[in-house]
Amino acid sequence: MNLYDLVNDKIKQIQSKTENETVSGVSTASYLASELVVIVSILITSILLRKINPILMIMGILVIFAIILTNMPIMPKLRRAQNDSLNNMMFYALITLALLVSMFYWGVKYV
Amino acid sequence: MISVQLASLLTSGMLIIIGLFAALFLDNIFKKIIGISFITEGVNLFIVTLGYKSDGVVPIFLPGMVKDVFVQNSAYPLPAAMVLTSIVIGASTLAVMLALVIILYQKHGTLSASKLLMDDEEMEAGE
Amino acid sequence: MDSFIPLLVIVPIFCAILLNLCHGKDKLVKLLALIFGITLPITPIFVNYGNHFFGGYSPLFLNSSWATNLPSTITNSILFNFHPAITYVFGGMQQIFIFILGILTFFVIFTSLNESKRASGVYTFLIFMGTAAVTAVFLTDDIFHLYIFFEISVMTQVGIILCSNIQRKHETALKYMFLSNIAAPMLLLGIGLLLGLTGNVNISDIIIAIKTGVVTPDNPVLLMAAALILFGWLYGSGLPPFHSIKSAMYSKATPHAAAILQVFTVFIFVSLGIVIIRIFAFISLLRWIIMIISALAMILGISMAITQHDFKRMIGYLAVGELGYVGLGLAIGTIQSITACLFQAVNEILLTGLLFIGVGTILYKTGTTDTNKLGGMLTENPFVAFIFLLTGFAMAGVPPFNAFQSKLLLIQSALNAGFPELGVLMIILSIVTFMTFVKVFYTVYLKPQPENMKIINKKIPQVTVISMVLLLIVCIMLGLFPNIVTNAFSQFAMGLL
Repeated sequence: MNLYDLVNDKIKQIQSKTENETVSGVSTASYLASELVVIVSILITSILLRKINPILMIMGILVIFAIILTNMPIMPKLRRAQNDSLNNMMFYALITLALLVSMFYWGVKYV
Repeated sequence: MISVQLASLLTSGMLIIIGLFAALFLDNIFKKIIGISFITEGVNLFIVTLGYKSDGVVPIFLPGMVKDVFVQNSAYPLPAAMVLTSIVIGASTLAVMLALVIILYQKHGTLSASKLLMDDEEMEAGE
Repeated sequence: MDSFIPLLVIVPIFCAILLNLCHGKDKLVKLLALIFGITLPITPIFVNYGNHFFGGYSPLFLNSSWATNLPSTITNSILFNFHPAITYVFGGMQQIFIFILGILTFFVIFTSLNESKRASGVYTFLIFMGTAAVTAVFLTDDIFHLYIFFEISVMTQVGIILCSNIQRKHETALKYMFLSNIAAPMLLLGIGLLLGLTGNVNISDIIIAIKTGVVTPDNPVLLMAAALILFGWLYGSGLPPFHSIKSAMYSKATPHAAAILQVFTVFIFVSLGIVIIRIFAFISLLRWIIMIISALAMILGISMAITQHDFKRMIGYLAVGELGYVGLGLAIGTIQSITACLFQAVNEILLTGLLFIGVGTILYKTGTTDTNKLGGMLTENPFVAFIFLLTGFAMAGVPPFNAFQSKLLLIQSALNAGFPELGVLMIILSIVTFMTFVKVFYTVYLKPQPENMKIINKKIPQVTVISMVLLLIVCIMLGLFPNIVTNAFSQFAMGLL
């Protein structure tokens, strides 16, 4: 089975299509593109860590790269996490509130 | 001995925390809405408490009052004015939410937030 | 003091109330809505720049004759500089934004009245009320006044969603209200903390209080206020973690309603973002948090957009992603980057509005926005397809359109400020935006028409096409002559910093 078929099967699973339904080439290309975009963008954004410490940046990028490699494909997980069910959104909202308050309260003296 | 202002601030904090817990963890939509109401009223209580002055007078200058004594002892009127508007906004958002709940109950016959307010794609798949 | 500045808010409110009273009388509503819609872009042209102090209560330093009988404890303290009344500030930057808001509101009303059989007084009421609310949010220098109109804009947005006939609109509206009633009280709590610390709700006075040492910058209560107000801003702007509900809102509204909803979102983003930068500029952590959240918005928005099947949802996510560009400009915090961020915000308003009106033409013709069920629309309307393609190019940052200028300015400012990785990120995501458009254009216009696709309305109203052309002309003008707006924005940015 080549790589294209592997990707195709994964997208079928995400879209819950049956064996007889086809996934279009456009869908496959979109999922591949979004996967690459997410990986590349996260790695580039993590270069910002150089402003704190260059060694932290190197360690951070290696750790992030390892996490990405072990969790590929990321897009299905991201799509599941980005759903608009109320419980999901409220959970992320409150986590963000807690993170913001903690960062402002304790992080200000370090930056 | 806790002062009136501190007790009020603690109460508003408790209201906000209870409201957040209800909004996040309870499944019944009405309980979530009550929780949200708690959050709003907790914040309103917090703001009103900011205007408190111990041994203060109501900030309305009546005939016969001495100006300097009034200025020294009156409570701060701005928070009360702010909260009036905030209460009205809270009431209108509450009314809109309750109207939406009525419509959703008529449509689906349940008040469970996890069933009513799930993801669009999950809902389509369920239908 | 300029007396005509409040007209920018009063005129739309008056129009809204009158239209609501006329609900049911279709012809009257259509006529009044069009007349009132024309007044919206015209009013800011005739209002002079300046400040308006409600009740005439200007600060003592502007009216020293009032201070002659006051004791020195007032005249020699910072109370001399305090603003006792609600203040509206109207300058070049505000004029440009309110003018663009007026133009887009007019086009949205124009096209929606022509495409729908019956005119709804309630729907036009909500649009005008929302316009008034975001105008007030933009003009005010009073943070509590801003909160009130912020809440009014949220309610009007919910009402606009409920006016559509799309399935599951009630569920989305209720989810939005739940999240609003968690984020907005947090914003109010932050305002309350600022009130407790400084005794003031006027933004300029809060800044004076912080700068003169009335409040020390490392006060934990001040930092908590910053966190809470930032949280409220994330909700109002549709930045993560609220990006999914924002894109859901856009997908559940009619395309014209979505066009106006995204304008409201951008206005709240810019106005509250500027307030946060003004008050809390001394917190360097703030800049980093805004930078990370904006980058996340760009990454999530644009990567989610490309995987969507629903056309409206796709553009909704793109709108969220484009807002990330604006946030990055704000976070970088130089004069060039803030000028670029304001320019990008204007361009986003125009382009996303144009895209949603374009989606409206597809929905009008076929009754669906599911790209799996669409195809071959190029033969139906080649001219509209061409306009849509140009809009896609514009949004991706292709010259000579406006977004090219603003994105170039943003990238240059990122490089000049020492953030080349942000410049690279912006370029990559612009390429992906372009890819998204190529996908959309192929699936809607070029792909063979599916057998089960029905054409409901043969002809798209001329009015819609004219609106799209005029908006595109504005985009090209701003692309060729960006100084029309960037001069005013850079002056504002210099005053801000």
